[in-house]
Amino acid sequence: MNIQILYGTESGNTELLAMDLEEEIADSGDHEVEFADLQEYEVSSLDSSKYYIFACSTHGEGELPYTAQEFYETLVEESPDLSDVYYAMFGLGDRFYEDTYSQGSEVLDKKLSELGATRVGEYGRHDASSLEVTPSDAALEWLPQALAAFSEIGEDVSAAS
Amino acid sequence: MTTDKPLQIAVVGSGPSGCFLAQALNRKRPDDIITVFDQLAAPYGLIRYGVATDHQQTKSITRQFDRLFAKENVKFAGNIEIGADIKIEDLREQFDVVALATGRPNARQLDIPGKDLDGVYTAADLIYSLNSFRGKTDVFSTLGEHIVLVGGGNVALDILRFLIKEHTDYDGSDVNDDALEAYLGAPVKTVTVLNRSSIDEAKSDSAMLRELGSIEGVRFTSNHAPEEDLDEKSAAARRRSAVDSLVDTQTSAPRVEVAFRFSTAPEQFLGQDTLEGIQIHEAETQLRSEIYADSAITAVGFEADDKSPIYKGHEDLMRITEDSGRIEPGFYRTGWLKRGAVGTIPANRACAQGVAKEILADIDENRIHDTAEKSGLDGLRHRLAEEPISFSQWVLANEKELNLADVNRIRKKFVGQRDIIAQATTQN
Ligand SMILES: Cc1cc2nc3c(=O)[nH]c(=O)nc-3n(C[C@H](O)[C@H](O)[C@H](O)COP(=O)(O)OP(=O)(O)OC[C@H]3O[C@@H](n4cnc5c(N)ncnc54)[C@H](O)[C@@H]3O)c2cc1C
Ligand SMILES: Cc1cc2nc3c(=O)[nH]c(=O)nc-3n(C[C@H](O)[C@H](O)[C@H](O)COP(=O)(O)O)c2cc1C
Repeated sequence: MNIQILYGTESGNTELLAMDLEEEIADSGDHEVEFADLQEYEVSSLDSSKYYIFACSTHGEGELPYTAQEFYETLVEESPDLSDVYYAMFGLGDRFYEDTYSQGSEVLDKKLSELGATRVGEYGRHDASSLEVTPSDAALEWLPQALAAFSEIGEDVSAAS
Repeated sequence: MTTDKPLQIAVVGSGPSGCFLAQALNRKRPDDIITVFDQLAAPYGLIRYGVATDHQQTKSITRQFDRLFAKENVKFAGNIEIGADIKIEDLREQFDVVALATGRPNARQLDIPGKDLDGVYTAADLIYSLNSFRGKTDVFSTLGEHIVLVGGGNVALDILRFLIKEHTDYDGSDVNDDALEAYLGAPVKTVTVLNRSSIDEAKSDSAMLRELGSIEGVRFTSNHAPEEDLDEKSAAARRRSAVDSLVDTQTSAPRVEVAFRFSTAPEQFLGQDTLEGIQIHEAETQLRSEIYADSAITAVGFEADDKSPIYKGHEDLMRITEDSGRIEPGFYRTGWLKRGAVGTIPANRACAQGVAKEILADIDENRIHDTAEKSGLDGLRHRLAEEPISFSQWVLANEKELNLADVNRIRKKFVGQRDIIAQATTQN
């Protein structure tokens, strides 16, 4: 499979997590993988040739990190048809912010779904208040089921064609 | 300068700004040798010594930097004060790139009559002791029953939270227990929080206000007038709703009463040698009045340590700018030193990334003209009376702190730097 990791961060946790996921996937030797900062990624590059892993934190009061805002706004303005895009989502937040917990990634997730993209696997989460687990460790634990979900689509698609 | 051989890069200050800068540079130029100096033996600046002891999730950002310092080419050089142990000029001679991230650690004094009276304290007088930066704990037993807290930002709320919390509210923290015990032996009965700004312009985050509601036995009041026409999602509306729900919470027989007074400015600290009260002025009513106070704590911002030798003869290094972090090619500033003492930890990452871009451009476009061979830290060792504290040495002290933690504490911090140095340099 061809996997593109895209991350939105403000204090760097999600960037480190993205790098760790990339390393883990690359080391397994089974897939092609790249990672990119959402602020350096073109919405127009989203297509069916890859599976996407989005990882995104929450800032302000339930908002997207600033590095993800332009990407999000482009989605809103251009409303691209993403019906052949499959993605997995990992959200970072902090339960300290009760009312807005993990909403940054949810804003993005909602928009991607609205535009026709399909989320697969479990919605991953990291809560900064659970101090025992680092964001990277939580994401690495979540990763196998996301990869499994991608490969199931692969089978379905080839079975259908 | 040839860019194919690894450069020697010095970052002065291991707070979030210095660490984010080192991180950004290391990711783009992994072969360069980056040395992060700190005058303290412990890394991480205000993350360790400023961020409140009951906000461990905020402090946990240091896990990113632990990973950074685990890299071969990123070194910590603790217990070295640039400007004193090593002059900036000497540092620049041995490093291709020098970036200052020395922060602004001094609490600003509120400049009104009576500011030097006994009983007038700054936020730093408390916070630096609660965070075990200093050992002094006598202030905690003399605060008295009636306290006026001046300031409307998040640091003021850190202080307020401390004043109204009880023992069990510190579970999982790394609070200095000597300071805490001294305070809880004679805790406050009333806190008046004076905020010059209106509730809509206050600088506090609503999440920090809402957090106060989880503390038992507190009655809150506020002088703000209702306002209906606000966008529900605006920071002002969220702040109002947070304060309103604090005020609406029924508390029978409260331990503590907290009165928020917005649009109210302190004009004068009253008393002969010791504080007795505060003269205030309310913007709305234009009324002046006096309130009684056993002590006053001001949380009105931070500023550069202008007595620090690093700035002697280099006063312009303390000038605040939103523009370039470049002082000249090869010499830069980032973080609170550059932008002033405003903004949270994440804002320092954005700032450091901008400065890293400038540094990388100067390197790539050959603007750093100096052909002399750079030896980095090795070229300076002969000037040092003591070896710097390395990251692996700090890890020894860090592990000791974690192991010493009492029940209900995440760690027991050594007070000051001496014991850290002793732990770090013990041969076992
Ligand atoms: C009381 C308080 C509470 C805060 N709480 C929060 C919070 O909860 N959340 C949040 O996001 N932000 C918080 N902040 C803001 C945050 O701490 C700052 O944004 C951040 O620390 C600024 O980073 P810095 O690296 O520029 O400075 P600093 O963190 O101050 O780091 C500067 C470093 O430079 C070192 N240094 C200085 N001079 C020299 C020298 N001559 N030689 C060698 N080393 C030197 C210092 O020892 C220090 O380690 C708080 C700030 C304060 C004051
Ligand atoms: C100023 C600030 C505001 C935040 N607001 C929220 C929030 O509203 N909801 C939430 O779940 N997490 C919030 N967080 C927590 C972050 O999402 C969490 O720390 C995350 O690990 C940061 O990831 P990053 O470093 O990749 O940006 C906030 C953090 C900060 C510093």
